[in-house]
Amino acid sequence: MTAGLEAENAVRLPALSVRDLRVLLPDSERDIELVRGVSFEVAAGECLGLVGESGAGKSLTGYAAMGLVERSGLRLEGTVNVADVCISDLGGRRLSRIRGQRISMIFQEPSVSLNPAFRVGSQIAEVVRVHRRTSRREAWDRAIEALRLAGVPNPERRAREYPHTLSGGLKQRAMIAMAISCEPEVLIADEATTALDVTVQAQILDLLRELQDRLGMALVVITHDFGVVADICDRVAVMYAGQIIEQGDVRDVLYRPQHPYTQGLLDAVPRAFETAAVVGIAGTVPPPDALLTGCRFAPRCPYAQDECRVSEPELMATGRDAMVRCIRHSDINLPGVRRAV
Amino acid sequence: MLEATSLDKSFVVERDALGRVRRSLHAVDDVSLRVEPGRTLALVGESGCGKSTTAELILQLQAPDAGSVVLDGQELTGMPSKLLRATRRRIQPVFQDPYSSLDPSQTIGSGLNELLAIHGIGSSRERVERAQRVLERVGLPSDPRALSRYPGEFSGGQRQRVAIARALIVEPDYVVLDEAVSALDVSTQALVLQLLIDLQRERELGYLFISHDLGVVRHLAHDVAVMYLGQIVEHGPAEQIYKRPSHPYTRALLDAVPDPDPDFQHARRTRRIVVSGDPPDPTQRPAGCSFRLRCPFAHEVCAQEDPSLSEFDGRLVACHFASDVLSSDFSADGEVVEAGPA
Amino acid sequence: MTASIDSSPARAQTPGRENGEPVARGVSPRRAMLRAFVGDRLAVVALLVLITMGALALLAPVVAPYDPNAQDFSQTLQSPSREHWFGTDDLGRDLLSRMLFGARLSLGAALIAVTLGAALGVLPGFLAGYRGGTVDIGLSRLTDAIMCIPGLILSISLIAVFGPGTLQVAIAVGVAFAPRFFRVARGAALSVAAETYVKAVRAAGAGHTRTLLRHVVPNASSAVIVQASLMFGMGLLVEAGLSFLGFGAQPPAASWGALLRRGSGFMVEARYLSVIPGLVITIAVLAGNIAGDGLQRAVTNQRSSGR
Repeated sequence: MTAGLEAENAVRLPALSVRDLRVLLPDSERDIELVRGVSFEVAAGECLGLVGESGAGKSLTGYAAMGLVERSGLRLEGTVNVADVCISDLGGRRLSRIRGQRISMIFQEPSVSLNPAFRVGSQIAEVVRVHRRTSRREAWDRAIEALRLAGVPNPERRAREYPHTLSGGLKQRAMIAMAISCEPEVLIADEATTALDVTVQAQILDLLRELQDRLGMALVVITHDFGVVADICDRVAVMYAGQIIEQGDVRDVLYRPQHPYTQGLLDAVPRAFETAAVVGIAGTVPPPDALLTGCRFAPRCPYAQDECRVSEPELMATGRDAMVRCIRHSDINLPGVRRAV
Repeated sequence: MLEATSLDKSFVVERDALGRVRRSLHAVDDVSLRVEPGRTLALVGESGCGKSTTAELILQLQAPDAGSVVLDGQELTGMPSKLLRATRRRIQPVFQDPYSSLDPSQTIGSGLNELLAIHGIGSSRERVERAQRVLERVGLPSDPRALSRYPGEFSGGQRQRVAIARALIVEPDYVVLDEAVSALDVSTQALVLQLLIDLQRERELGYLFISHDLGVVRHLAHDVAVMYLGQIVEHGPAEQIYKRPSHPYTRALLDAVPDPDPDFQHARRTRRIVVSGDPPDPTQRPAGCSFRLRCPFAHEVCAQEDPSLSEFDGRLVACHFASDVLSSDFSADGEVVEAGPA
Repeated sequence: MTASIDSSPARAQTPGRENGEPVARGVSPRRAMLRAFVGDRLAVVALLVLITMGALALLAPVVAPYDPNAQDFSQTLQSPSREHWFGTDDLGRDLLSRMLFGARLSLGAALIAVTLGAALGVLPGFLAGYRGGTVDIGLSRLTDAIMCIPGLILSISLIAVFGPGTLQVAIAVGVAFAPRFFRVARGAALSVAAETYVKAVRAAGAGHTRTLLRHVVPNASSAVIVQASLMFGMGLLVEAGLSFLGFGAQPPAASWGALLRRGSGFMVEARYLSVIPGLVITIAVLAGNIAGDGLQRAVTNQRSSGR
């Protein structure tokens, strides 16, 4: 496909670069920070996982990267670049031209993401026609091609059907077809396999991997499931209470985590191939309007000391592309994910 | 012992103009289960496989078309409603959604009190004490102020603890847990899971644990029954089923679960059996084995003869080729590779 | 898409700590609803308008400046003035006084109609929605049959049997309202009955009566209350219409609709005789609807924030 020049560009520039992203909920007294200064980069052909529990701000980060938060009364700060274009400065029409064409997103609930009143094919064709000057015929052909790429069997027939006739897995494939119909450089998948049955989830993960290889996309996978992270991601950023608390290569972060929260999550995951008792983390994520001094995880952290509650730790570089937000990371030795047997 | 034998339940999906059944859904097809005190039987399967309907049949929330539910020798199906109500104390449910399983207009205290009132347990003072004791046991604040709170003031994990407290306060012998920890975040889920394990040990509770999450099941279940399109396809000790799956569907389910150990996950990803397509429309079950259309092992016999659940390698399996499944390995593209003599 | 964006910050703000003290304190859903309603300025103003009208109606004998039926042929068809704020009619009766006494009939009739409609419709509705099956089918068919008869014709035929009069009108309107209450109550009960907590108390051993009264009714009643407040406005309107047609209050007593009817005979020489009753009816109906809408919003807000 048309990978040519753009792909060459992407070698030098990360496909997606997010700098000090903040999402603020305006409030009468002070703005409430839902996402508190998130930065990451994803290169073409690379997959970054954003992992965390509910309230971590990971989905909001995804929406913000798409420029999709301002309509809901939230304010956005920081910069988002897709290759050489700074999309956080763009407004209205120019942003929509990029969105869907160079960066697109798939969501958790495929059933509510498709318009029930239109045929699957024409919804995809419409996206194509918004971004490319093509005839109806060409857009339709492209829609069928996208469905085929997304692994929809018998795409010519499926394109003519209405969303409600498709199963959950096929709907998600149709959503993916729509997202990749203009061959975006960046694809953000927000809990895209969470609502699916496990056998279908495996198929969709395989599909995302295959599409990424074929189209050279940068992939951002937002998930709460470390299994998904281990399966598909090259790098991972663990989020907690609106911040990235640890970031790095997947194997480094999972086998040698440096943040107690990462370790806590790994110990809490009940696994099918490992029977050591799961250990939970007492307490819950502090609400975004909580006035906390010091580390936001300290109230739940087994390693917390007085110094942790003095000031909020910075994200510290601890290696090539390895960062952690914990002042005690060099004192504590965390075992990482247990090896499966 | 809580025992279900040959449960059957169908629903009419569509009727023609004369009221004759045009399409029906065989939600539960000849399902037999046994829950023993102090042990957990997990019923696993994907959405629409009939596992929640099975739970409702056992809880007597729906009447089965055929089959029976027997509690310690007492037949529950068709029991007069007065008698049934008293027996219900012994089997309590915990449901999935911590947001809809508690009445929003009822305080925690009055909800707990109501359950005791239904079964005529204790004076009003004893009831308050019992409520406080059970809340304390599930790890919630138990002061009088806590009793006067509404469910809306609790987090998801706390609500699920309240739901467990509700189930426990009448001191049941069996608890039916329908996706009871599925809606929780992992850090909370692990705490609730641990609580369930501790409570079982303390009180010799028998659990019927219904879940789609094979990871969670691994940590709780002594026995596992795998359901596909209303039927149990494999049933046996958890250890056996996880380590040596003998039904292709069980194998596919286990292969599909992603594991957080990256090296392990990468290695098994290339070896997994991938079933094609979604679970089929349960109203259109294929003739013969209902899994055959997605099954890499299927032969002609599978179309002609529905395999019955029969003894194999220390568990029950419904597959003509169970021994092949057990001994086979897979190539990277999901093709079956014969591994040694079958 | 927007929905999920909106919900994420809301969920993130949900207070509560896993093992510690929840941040919020003892607010019942009903009180939360009331609080939401009080915060809705327009709805509160509308409710105050209705309350004021009701109070004036109750106090009519005290506050009315004249005897509503006292004729004064020296003062016929007087435009509004300092002596007669709303003017006088063709028999020299003070329109303000007649409106105040008329309010008793109009508001009273609407109140009776709504109460009767609710009394007839709500319980069967709850029962049908909760029990489903044959109970539901039987009651729903009955309601459908009643609804087939246009409300106006039903009312007129009931009046034909019992004779004209405000009470008869109110009863007729109430009967016509009952199916609407039935439907709303049934729908609300149906959705509550599908909630897991109903399943949970059933499985715990609660009987149908307890489940219906303790769990379904409290959670389904807010929808009925909203419906009642909306029906109040409609009751006023229907009563006015029937009185305008001459089926309602009989002379010399006069509800707002009857006053409007009488005023309509003097459109040229005394327009205020029809404009004032018309305006008052409009304001009352509007106030009823705005208050009802506000209540509806409060219910939905409370429900979504409870999740």
